[in-house]
Amino acid sequence: MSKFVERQRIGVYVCHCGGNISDYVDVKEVVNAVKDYPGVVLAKDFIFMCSDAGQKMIEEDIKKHNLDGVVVAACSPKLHEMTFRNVVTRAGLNPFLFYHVNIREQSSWAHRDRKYSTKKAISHVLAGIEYVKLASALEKIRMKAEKSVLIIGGGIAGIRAALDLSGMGINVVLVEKEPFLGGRTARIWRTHPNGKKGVDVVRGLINELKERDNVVILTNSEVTHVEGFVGNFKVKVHVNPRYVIKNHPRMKEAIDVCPVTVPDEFNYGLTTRKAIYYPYEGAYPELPVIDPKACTRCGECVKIVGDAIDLSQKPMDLEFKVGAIVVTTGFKPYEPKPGEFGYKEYGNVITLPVFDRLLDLSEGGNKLIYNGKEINSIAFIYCVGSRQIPNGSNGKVNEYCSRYCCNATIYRASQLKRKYPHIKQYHFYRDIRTYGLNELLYLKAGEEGAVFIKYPDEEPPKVYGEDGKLIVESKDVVLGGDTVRTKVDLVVLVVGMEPYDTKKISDILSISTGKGGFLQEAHPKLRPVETLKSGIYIAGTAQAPRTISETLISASAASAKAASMLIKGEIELEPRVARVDPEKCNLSKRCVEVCPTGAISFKEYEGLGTKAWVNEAMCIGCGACTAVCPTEAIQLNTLKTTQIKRMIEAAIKGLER
Amino acid sequence: MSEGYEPKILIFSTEYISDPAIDLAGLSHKDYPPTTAIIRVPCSSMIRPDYILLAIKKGFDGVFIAADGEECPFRKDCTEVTSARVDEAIKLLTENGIEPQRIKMAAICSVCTDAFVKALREFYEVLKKLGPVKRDDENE
Repeated sequence: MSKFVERQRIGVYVCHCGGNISDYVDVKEVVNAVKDYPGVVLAKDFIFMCSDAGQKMIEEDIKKHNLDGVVVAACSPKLHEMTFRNVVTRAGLNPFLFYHVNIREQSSWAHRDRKYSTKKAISHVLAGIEYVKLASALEKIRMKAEKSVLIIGGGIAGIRAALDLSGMGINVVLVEKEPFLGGRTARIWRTHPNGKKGVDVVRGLINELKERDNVVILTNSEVTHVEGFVGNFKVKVHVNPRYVIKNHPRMKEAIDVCPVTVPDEFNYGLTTRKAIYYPYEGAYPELPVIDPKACTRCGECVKIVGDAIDLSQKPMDLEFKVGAIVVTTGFKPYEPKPGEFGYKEYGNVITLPVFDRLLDLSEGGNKLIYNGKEINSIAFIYCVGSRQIPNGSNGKVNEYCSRYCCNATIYRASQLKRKYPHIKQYHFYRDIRTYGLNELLYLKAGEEGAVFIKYPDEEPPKVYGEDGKLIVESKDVVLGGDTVRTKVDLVVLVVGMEPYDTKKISDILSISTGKGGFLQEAHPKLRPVETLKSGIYIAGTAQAPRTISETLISASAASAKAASMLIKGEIELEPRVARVDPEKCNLSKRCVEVCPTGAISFKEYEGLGTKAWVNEAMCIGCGACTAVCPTEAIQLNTLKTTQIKRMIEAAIKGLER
Repeated sequence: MSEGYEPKILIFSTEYISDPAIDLAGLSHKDYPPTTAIIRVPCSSMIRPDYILLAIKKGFDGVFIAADGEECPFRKDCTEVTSARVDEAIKLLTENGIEPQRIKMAAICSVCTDAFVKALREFYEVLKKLGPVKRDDENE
């Protein structure tokens, strides 16, 4: 084994982050503190180290000054460690002779006192220098990766992702909790801009999906467990029984004969369904389902279709190996509290999703009937469950804008005008956010006669009943605060989006949730569809409120990201593995006991006898073995015990300055 | 102890779990003691007891292990294994005449910013009460 030579020509680069760092850390002081430190040949500060100019400076310095190690002190390594590793590589230096020091999130942003944050920054930089001095040049490890992806959620985002991935030759397992695909989109009356029904949009995509032979679709199913890592995840899926196991020419009769009638959740209870049912014409899979909660096991359906129905069907637990996971679990509409704008207090106060079902079910006629009464006037109240203002007593509120709602409601205004020109529309809004091209919709709706009334932020409209009619009373900001009272037949609450069960999925996958409880991306601009867990991607409304188009864009983006990782069938992993120095090993065997993957065994070394040995393909690089070895014979090659000790000694010097 | 005594704390964070939580503490400007230095490791189970003794001998007043806890991407028994190392460290400190309260382990999940800030502040107060480490070689 050749003698290890410490790096002696290290370059240190301290980033200002345009003031994000330099406002609270004296970057000049940091440079001065380390420029004469043993092993350092140059230290520089720069306004944006990640900019082209910053990167170029480091690259040129490495060549010009023959640097053998680089330390960059900047933001969190989560953001730019890769950027600078690439810079170092471009300059011909091994990327592992570089250390990324965090002086933004963990120094300038954390502490308001410049003196302390500067000391802390120096402490971190000194530790980084000591790390690099003892760093080894390493090559990445290549590993076989499963060319398959698990998609969780069979709404429009999941279906789009399945199509994209399957088209790139990647096998897909699409898991949907409900008995049918299509999610919330299938319930939408008509979609912008061509007026296509939600079911038809979904159906179009599903028809394409049906043709693919590399997609497994599991409905009525839930992912219960995920383990492993990028390229090699092991997932468990629980499949609930459908009880209808195959189709039958007399299936329709079997449904008709079912004596049980329950509210149909697909239509938010506007209609009823049987215990054996399809949610709508053309639903997929083309096999009805039996609702076990409603079914009385009377067996009437079985008498007609025989063995096409198996009422004793048991749930199944399946296991898959996949290389990546795309999470598209979607949203749920905000459910107004009883009494909020008269909700549940007056029969004719409904939410926008329910209104959509009403419009869909009313297609074909020229009258809109609700609760047995013809509707001739409608008030829409915007921002219900979105942009809520916390007042100390209303608990946790949704402070975000739900993004889709202004567009959706105003598009419906136009469609309503076309189908029911006699219906008067009053739109009570806070601000209209028909961003981008949708602004044209807003202009059109106004021209067509829809009335828009702007209510004050802090004083939303009141809804109450009078002589069997509903009254919406509101201040009108445009009229200088005058009160407007409108009698209407129906009030539609334009409800926002809320995350749907993200807590559960984030627990199973160990990914984070962020603002408002939606799933959080690794970085909004640099890694918008990735999570911090490598190989797990997010898309659609599980991540943030979005329109259908935006959902589809993110689903395609996540698919492309997942595919680009797996398409070669192998992935590159960090060379972070443990290695044994057989000369030092005294066969304590403690490493074997503590290894979580059984990667350590014993082998004969020439002239040294039996000593510990690490199978690098099995080693996951936790380093637990390095903590128990009595002779420090086993080392993590990216973080040796000597490195940590020298980092500790250097760090205290920084703080003691 | 003197009024101006500010304990210095070495924090071991973990790359995927507690380091992001500590980042988030900075991002959301949550105030925690600044006389701290952070060294990130892949997993808290790799912390050798002698690192802790070394840190205290060299001038830190305490060592805070922001452990992976249940979220550990490497092993389910992370807390157990890390705790075993902490127990060994406590023994090692005691043997060297150092108060075992100078080591603190807390499981910090990747978004457990408040838990981190609270645990660190409490630890800081404990160290403040303990006062500076009595070192034989005071002026080393």
